[in-house]
Amino acid sequence: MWRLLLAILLLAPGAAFAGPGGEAGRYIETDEYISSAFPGGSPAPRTLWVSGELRDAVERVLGHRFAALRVRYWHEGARSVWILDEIGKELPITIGVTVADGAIDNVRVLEFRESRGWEVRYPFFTDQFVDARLEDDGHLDRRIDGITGATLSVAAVTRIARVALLLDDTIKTTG
Amino acid sequence: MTLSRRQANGNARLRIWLRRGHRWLGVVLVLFVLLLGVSGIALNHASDWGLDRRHLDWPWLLDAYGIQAPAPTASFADGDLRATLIGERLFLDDQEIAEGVTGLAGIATLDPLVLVATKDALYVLTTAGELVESMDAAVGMSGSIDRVGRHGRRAVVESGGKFYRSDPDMTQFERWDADQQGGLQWSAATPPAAAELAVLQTLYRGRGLTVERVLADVHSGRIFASTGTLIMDAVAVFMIVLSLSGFVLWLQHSRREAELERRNGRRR
Repeated sequence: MWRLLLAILLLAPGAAFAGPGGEAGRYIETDEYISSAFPGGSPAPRTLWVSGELRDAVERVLGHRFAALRVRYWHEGARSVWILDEIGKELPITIGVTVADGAIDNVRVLEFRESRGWEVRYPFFTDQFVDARLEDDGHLDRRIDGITGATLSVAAVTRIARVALLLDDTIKTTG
Repeated sequence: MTLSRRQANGNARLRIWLRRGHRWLGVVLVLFVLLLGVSGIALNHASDWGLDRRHLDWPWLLDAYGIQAPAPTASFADGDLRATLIGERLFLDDQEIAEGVTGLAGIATLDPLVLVATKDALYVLTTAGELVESMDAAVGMSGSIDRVGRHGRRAVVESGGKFYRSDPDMTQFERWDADQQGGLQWSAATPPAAAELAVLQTLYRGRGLTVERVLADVHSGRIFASTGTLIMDAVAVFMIVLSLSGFVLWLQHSRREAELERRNGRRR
């Protein structure tokens, strides 16, 4: 009996911290995410050039230079899907954002490459973005609760959610 | 000499030694206290001050840490441009364009754009090295990318035994028939010149050491290997002795003061 207790005491902390499949990695393929956003069939990808005022606005949200000159997106009706990378601490996190009628429909972390902060992949965090819209000052219309130990990843996902809404607004206004 | 006299002399000698030792330890420890204090504060705020993202590229320091660049995993050239994968870091000429890369498939230059393909992604860049767009190879292709080539003013990618050809701006890649392959030039791996490789390896090594890590090693003494750790252990012991000797001196001083006050009070 005491051996069993000892084994539980020794193994329990490790099991609690490891969690089921909680580590960094590729969680969902990009085309799978796009297909799930368009159940009737994925539209052809389009590209949006990020230049001039749009680039300034995107870089204001990110707080740093936006690396790419254009971004690829998928758009049909009132829905658009954006696959964007943002660095949490040192490596990029690949994030998929679906926007419908100017509000976030879904946020998914597609790939997480760093050793810490992967908790942002879980629905308890990403579900906070559902129905979020951009306010006039470029911020979300709601508060996103952080995760202890994943502050930089939380900030990165939040920035990308704002950028996706901004880009969606741009394709709507520019046609 | 009476016992109390001898005891008084002994106490006086101990006081003198304590005072001397305390003074000398204080002088010796000034530099270390400053070093530990400053490095400790910096380590506490390393993330806020970006010290965990700032890198040191001093060759002598990198040599001391034994940080070496691995040999290139793969290197492809097309025209004047060369894509090289060192470790998991991808370079276009001497510019880093991606990290966490596991395999390089080739390069196709279509001035003013260039396509660098890894096994999992396509990077469209300007010939000046500015990233235009990165694309996941899983989207619209048959899996990982096997090789890359040029067909006139179009880039061609082979993935899962199928061929995909780009438009001139590389915004779209569409299925392409194998029987149209006349004039197709596949990108072939070639080793970089020694001078190019030296530049890349210097760049690679320069990202291997953060300011935070050096500060942590200075703080713990590990910067001078086991000798440094022993020195910092000695410093820690000296600091304990300094604080204890200071406390004993203060205690003796307080007692003497109290004794003097008591004697003065009796005289009055």
